[in-house]
Amino acid sequence: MRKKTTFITTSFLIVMLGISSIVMAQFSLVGQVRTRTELRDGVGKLATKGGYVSSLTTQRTRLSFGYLYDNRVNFNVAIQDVRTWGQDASTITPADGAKLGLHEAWAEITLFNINDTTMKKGFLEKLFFKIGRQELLYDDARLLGNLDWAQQGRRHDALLLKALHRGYQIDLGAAFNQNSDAITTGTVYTPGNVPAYVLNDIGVLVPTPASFIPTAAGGSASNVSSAAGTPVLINPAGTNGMNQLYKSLQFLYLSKKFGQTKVSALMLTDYFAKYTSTSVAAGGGLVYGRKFTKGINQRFTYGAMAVGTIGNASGLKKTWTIAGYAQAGKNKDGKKLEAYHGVVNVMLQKGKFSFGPGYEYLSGTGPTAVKDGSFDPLYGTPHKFWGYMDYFYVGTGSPKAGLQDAYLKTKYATKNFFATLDAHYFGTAQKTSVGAGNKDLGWELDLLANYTLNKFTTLEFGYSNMFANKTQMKAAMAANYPNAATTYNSTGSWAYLMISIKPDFFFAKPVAIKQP
Amino acid sequence: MKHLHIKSKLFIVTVLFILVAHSFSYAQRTVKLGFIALTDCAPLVIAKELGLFKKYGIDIQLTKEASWAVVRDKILNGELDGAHCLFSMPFSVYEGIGGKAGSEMRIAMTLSNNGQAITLSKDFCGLVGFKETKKVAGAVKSVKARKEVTFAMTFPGGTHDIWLRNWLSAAGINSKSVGIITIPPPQMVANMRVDNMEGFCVGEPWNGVAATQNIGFTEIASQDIWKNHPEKALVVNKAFSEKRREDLKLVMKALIEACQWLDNMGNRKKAAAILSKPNYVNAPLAVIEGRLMGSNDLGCELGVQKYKDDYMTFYRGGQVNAPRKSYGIWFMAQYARFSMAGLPAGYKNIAETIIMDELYAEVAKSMGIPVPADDMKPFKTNLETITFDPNNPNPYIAGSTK
Repeated sequence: MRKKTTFITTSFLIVMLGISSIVMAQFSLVGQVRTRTELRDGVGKLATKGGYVSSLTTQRTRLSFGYLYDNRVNFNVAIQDVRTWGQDASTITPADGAKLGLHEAWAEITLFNINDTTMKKGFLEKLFFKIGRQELLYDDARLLGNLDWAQQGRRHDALLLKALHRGYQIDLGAAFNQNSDAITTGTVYTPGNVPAYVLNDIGVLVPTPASFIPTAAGGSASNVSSAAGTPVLINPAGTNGMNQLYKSLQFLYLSKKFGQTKVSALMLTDYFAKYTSTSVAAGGGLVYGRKFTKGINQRFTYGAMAVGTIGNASGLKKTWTIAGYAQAGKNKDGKKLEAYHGVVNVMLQKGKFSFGPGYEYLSGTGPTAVKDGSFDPLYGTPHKFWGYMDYFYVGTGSPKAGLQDAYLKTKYATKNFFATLDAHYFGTAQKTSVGAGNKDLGWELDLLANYTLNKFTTLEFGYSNMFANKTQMKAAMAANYPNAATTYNSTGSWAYLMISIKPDFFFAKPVAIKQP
Repeated sequence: MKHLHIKSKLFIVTVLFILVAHSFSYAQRTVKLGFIALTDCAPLVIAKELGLFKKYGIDIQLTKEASWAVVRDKILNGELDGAHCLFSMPFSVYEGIGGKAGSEMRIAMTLSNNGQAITLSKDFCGLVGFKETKKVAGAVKSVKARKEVTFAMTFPGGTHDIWLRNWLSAAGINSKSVGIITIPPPQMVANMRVDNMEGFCVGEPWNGVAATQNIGFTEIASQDIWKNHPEKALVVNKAFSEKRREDLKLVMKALIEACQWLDNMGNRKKAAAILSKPNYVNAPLAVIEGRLMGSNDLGCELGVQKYKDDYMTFYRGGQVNAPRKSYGIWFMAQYARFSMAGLPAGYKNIAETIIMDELYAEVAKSMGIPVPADDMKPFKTNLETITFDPNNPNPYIAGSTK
C-alpha cells in the first residue's frame, strides 16, 4: 500500500514537474524545402563558345529546432541536406551521398538582463553568451553574412559575447579551427577538403600526400599536378575563390542608432596557417602543392558603416548608405596586404516605387604591384551586392585588379509582391595587363520578381544578362579562364525559379488577452 | 506603587497619542498614484525620480497598473488617490460607456498632448502608407476579403477609442462595420503578433515597438488627427479632491515642474533612459527615445516622420496642463456622434463637475504660470471639416460623419 502511495506521489510530481517545465519552456520547429531550377549560360564566368546551356535543380531541405527556457537558455539546431536533383544516380540506392549536414548548433545563455527583474543586475543591461556552430550576420551582410542565397548557407564554429547597453550593441566573437582531433599535430591547420587521389605530374593517379593541398591547372583534379596550378579542392573553403579556411578569427562589432542613422564599426582579424610550396614524390612522379607548417599569416579588416533614413514613402523617403573598410597585415599566402573598400548609395522611395544610384569600390592589385592590394569581402553575402550572376567575389573568385561597380537599382513592391530591376556597370579598380589600361568589364542587368503565396511559401523568378568586354573579363579573371585557347561568348544569361516552403510546425494562434 | 502605575499609564497614553498624531499627519502627506506603462506617464515618473514630490512634502506611492479598467476601479474605490489617465475616461465612465453610469472622477490637470498613433499590421503593408487615409477603406476591403478585420483600443470611450473612430470616419469607414476590441496598452504588440487584430490605437512606445519588431507600421499619429490634442490627465478620486485639496495642489505643483523639465528637449534622452527601466515602461530605450524626440520610425520600410513642434508635449508654456471643459464636451459629442451614448442635456454641468479648472488656475497662479483663455471657444481638429462649438455641439454632431 505504502509502495503504491509512493509510486502515485512520485508519478504526480514527475507529471507536475513536466507540466511546469513545458510552461517555462518554448519549443520551435521550422522546416524549409527550397528548390531552385536554373538555366545557366554563363553564370559565374563567361560560357565557352559552342558550349551548352545547362539546366539543373538544386534543393535545400532544412529543419531547425529551437528550445527557449525562461528567456535564459536558448538552444538551436538546424540540420540540412543540400543536393542537386538526380545526384544519386539511382532512385532506389540506399547510399545518398552523405549530403546531410549540420548547419547550426548553438546554445545561448543570458548572463544579464535588466528587463528580467528576477535576475541579478550586472554591469551591462543585457549580456548573452552564445557558443557553437552559428551564422554570423551583421549590417547588410556585406562582410559577415549568412549567405542565404547559396543553398548550403554559411556558418562558423564560434563563440560570441553579445552585449546591449544604453542603445549600444557590442559583439565580441572568436573562432578557432582544427580539422582533426589528433593530439600529435599541434596547432598546425591543414584544410581538410582535398580529394583523396590526384594526378601526379606525369598523369598517374596517386593518393594525396598527408597535410598537403595539391595544385593543378584551374584547380581541377582532372589536370596533372603542376607547381603553377591552383589548389585542388573538393569544395572551396568559402566565397571569393577561397581555398583555405581561416585558422582562427576574432572580431569586435559595435553599433548604435542616432535618431534615424545607424552607425556601426567592425574590427576583425583572421589568421591563416602558413604553407610552403613544395613537391612530394609519388607514383614515379611528383605531386606539387602546399605543405602547411607552423606559424600564421594575420589579416586585419576594419571600418565603419552608416545607414540613414530621411522622410517617408508617403512623401519621399531617402535612404543612404556610406561605408569604408580597409585591410592590412598579410594575406593568406603571406603577402603584405593593403586594400580598401568603399560604398556610397542612395535609394529614393515614393509609395510603392523606389530607385537609386550607388557606387562601390574594391581595391585591386596592379600588374606591377609588390603588395597585395585586392580587398577580400570576407565572409559575407556577395551575391547581394555585385550582380546576381555571381561573377565577382563568389565561388569563382574575383578580379585581382579589384572592382568598381556603378549601379542603378529600382524596385516596385506591394503587399505580396515585389520586383527589382538593377543595372550594373563593372570595371576593374586597377589597370589590367591587357587592353592598354582599359578597366571596362561590362554591364549586367538583373530582373527579379518575388511573390508571397501564403504565410509559408514564396516564389521567386530571376533573369539576368551579362554584356561583357570579354578580353578584359578574361584578363581580369585569369584564374577563371585557365585555357587561353578557348574562346568565350561576350554575353551570359541566366534564369531561375526558386520555390521556398518554410512551415512553422508549432505555429498556433494564441487566444487574445482581452480587457474585461 | 499605585502612583507609579498611574504615571506609567499616562506615559503610555502620551506616547500613543504622539504616535497616532504623527501617523495621522504622515497619512495626510502620502498620496497613492497609479500609472500605465506608457511613455506619457513621464510626468509622474520624473516628478518622483527628480524628487519633486518630496520637494513639496508629498510622499508618493507610485504603482504600475495592468489596465485602464483597473485604474478606473482603483480610483473609484479609493485604492488610488489618482492616476495618469486617459483624458476622456471620466466622461466615458460618467456616461456609462466605460463604467457604471454616474460614477464620478475628477480631472485636476492635463499631463500631455499628442504622442499616440494608429498602427496597422503587416497585412496592410504595401496597401496603404503613412497618412494615406484615403487609401484605408480600399485596404480594409482588400484585407477583409481574406479575414475579419479587427481594431483594438485601450478603453471604451477613451482617447484611443475616439482617435480610432475619428480616423475610421475620415477614411470613410463606419466604425460599426469593423470589430473593435479592448486591449491594455502593454499587451497590444503581443496581440498583434499573434494576429488577434489588424490595427490598434495606443500611446507610445507601443506603436514604435510594433514598427521596430516588424509587426506593423504607424499609419498615422494622433497629432495628425488633432494637433495638440488633450491626451493624459491627472484624474483623481472625488473624495480625495475634496478632502485633501491642499495635498492635491502640492501634487499638481510637483507634476507641473516635471512637465516643464520634460519639455526641455535637452532632458528627454535622460527621461527616456529612466522610463525604459523595468519598473516603469520596460521597453527598448531607442524606441522610447526616438518617439519622445519626435522622430517616428514608421516601420514596414516606410521611412521616418519627424515632428517639429507637435511631438509629445507636457507643458508648452502652460498650454498643455490647463484642463478645458470644452475638450470634455467634445468627447461627449463624440460619444453621441458615434452612437455610443446620447448627448446629455446637462453636458455643460458634467464638464464643470469633472474638470477642476478653478483649482488648476489657482495652482498655476501660485506658480506664475499663464492660464490659457481659450476654453469654451470653437475649434476644429485636423481630419474634421466641421468646427466644433462647445456651447452648441448639436450641429457638429448632426453634420459629422459616423
